[in-house]
Amino acid sequence: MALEKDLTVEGQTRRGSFLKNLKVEDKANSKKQVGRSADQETDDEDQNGSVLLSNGQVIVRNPQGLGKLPTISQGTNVEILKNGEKITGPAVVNEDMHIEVQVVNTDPSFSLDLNISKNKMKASLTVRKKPGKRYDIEDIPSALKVCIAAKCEQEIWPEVELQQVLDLLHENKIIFGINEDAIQEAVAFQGKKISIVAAVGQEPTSGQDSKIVYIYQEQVSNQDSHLQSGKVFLLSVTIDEVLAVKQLPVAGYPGMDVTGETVPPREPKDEPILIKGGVRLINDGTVAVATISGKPVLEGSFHKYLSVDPVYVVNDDVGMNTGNIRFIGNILITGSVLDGFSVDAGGSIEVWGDALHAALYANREVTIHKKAISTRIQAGGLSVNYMQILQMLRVLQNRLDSMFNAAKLLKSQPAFSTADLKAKGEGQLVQLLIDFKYRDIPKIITAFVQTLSESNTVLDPLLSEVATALKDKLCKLGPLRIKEQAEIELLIANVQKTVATVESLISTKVNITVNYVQNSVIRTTGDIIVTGAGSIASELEAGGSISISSGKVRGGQLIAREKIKIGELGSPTGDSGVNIQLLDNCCLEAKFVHPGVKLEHGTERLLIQEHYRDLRAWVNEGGLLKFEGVAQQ
Amino acid sequence: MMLEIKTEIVNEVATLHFDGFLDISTVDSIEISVSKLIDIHEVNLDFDKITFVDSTGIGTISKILRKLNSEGVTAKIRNIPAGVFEVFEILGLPEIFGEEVFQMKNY
Repeated sequence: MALEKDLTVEGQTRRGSFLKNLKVEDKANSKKQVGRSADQETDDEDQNGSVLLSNGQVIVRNPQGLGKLPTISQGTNVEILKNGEKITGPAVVNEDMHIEVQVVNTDPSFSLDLNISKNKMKASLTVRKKPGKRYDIEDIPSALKVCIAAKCEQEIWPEVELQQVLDLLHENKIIFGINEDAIQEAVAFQGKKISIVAAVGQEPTSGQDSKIVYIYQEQVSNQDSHLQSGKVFLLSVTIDEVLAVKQLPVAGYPGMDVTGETVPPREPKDEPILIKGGVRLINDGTVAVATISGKPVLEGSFHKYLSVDPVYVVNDDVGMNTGNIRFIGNILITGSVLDGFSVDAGGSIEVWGDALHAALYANREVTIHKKAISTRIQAGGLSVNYMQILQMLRVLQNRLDSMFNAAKLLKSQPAFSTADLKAKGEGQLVQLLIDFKYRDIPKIITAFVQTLSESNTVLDPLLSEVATALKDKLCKLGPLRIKEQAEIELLIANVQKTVATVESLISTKVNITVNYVQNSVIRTTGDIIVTGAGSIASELEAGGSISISSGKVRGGQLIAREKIKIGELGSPTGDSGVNIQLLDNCCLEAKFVHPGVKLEHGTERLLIQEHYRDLRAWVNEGGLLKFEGVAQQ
Repeated sequence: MMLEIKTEIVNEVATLHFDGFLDISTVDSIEISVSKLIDIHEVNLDFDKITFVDSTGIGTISKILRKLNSEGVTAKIRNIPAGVFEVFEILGLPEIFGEEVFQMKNY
């Protein structure tokens, strides 16, 4: 017969924890029945022990007969002490043991992190809060094995005082631009993390840079309305006419950073009016006026120089009456340039009529308001020639660099013997490389030499020196005359120097604008803009872009460095194919393309064999030609 | 510097086994060995035991390949050690004469 025992418990509370000291008292004689569970019983003689938790009291009952001893284990947020020792795993208990269950409460805490920006214009505060937790033990029914755990009953958020934050700012010397509202919000916030801008400085007020207003350009803005009304616009100024006025710089106001330091404003830029011929400065350099009558010109990519070029006006056709025209400044022709005549301008050329079987050369822009038939037009002066040469030199430079690296790599190979190079000279290896992998190098040099010899203008003498050296050393049996590696290095260095020289010789980009082109050759350093019906069987070469966006291109060749934009490309019959060369990063955009159009980039060629709408072609990062568009039936 | 050349001819196919250096001192013996081949429609140059090449040696080999090709004789270089094969690749020989002409040694 099993005996029932009643147990009484004494408890006590500690600060930050709830502790119950439990004394187990035998009250077997009370005979009070507290019930049995299934695992407590084996048979009437043998009965398992048990543990229960009720109202924070731990009650243990010893086993009877061969019954099992009860065990107690520690769950979350409690500590259990058995006879004064903390248990770490399940522990056997009996009625004689002193068992303490300690609830582990946590205190609230917080941290303040202050971050000041490099320029001390902003101080950011991050408040991190961790709430304290109060736990309570839940009742556990009588069982052989009991795990005691505590459940969170209450969260207590830490209290952060505004003064604590202000003290932190003060410690960090932050005295200006403190945002107390934001700080109040942060201290009152009941959450784990909040970031605010605790203080912000006052930015200085920027001054105003000097500004140059080019008065004559107001005439240009009226040009469109003149053209629309059928008149042709002539940009010109007279002596003492004001061309530009400089607005003086205005100083700004200082600001203040969060530490109270003054932040000075940016010094406003004071750019002078830069002038060249035909212009003088008055009023302490703040006003530019013309010293001659002519066409005002603003040139230069970074620094803009203002000048006035004299204008030679031909109020007639250029033909038998006028002869060929050659003028140091700008030329304006109100008629046409007729068969076999030429116009050569140190400045720009503007033709109100046509250019028919003629030649036009200008250092600056060329504008033909009507059509150019069988005409050669070149703008940009020598820069056009230099552009062509530069293209060749760049290819050559890449190939020579590659060859030189290949030679070095070969000599570093363990299976490659250099004994014969010492006897016969380094040229032996160069010859070998040119015979096999770099067969294109002599061809590029030959084309370069030929271009120089065909040029009818006087080019930089450095070019012919380099051309001669390249031809002597790298063409035919020339490489075999090379004795030392230093000779190749010098050759490559000279090519590199020449590339840099030619680049510096290419001046500002200038444009050619024409309404319609047929059987003509047009070259410029800038853009070619065909405003009308298009280009037929013509060669167009632009250092910038080619725009024939609303016209047709049939036959001929188009080369550009930046972009080619065309309305209709090729002919419906496919018998007047167009050759398009895309240089560098140039891309082609065409609204409609007929079959027979050839695209080229370097040695790569691509033939368009179908009709396409909205075709776009470009050179990808790997240097390969790509195109996309909507194929048409 | 030495180069030994052994020639085997079976059914109009000649195989020249090289052992040594292919360089300025040995190129004459290669040219002589190849010039002795008569009524041959295929020539295999076995480079298994070639340890070094120099620019003169490579120049001679390319001259021989061109000559044999012009005579309608198929020429191949077999068992090329990896180091020598890399030299040929840097020079672009496989691009000129065809990838199938140059066969790297199996290791």
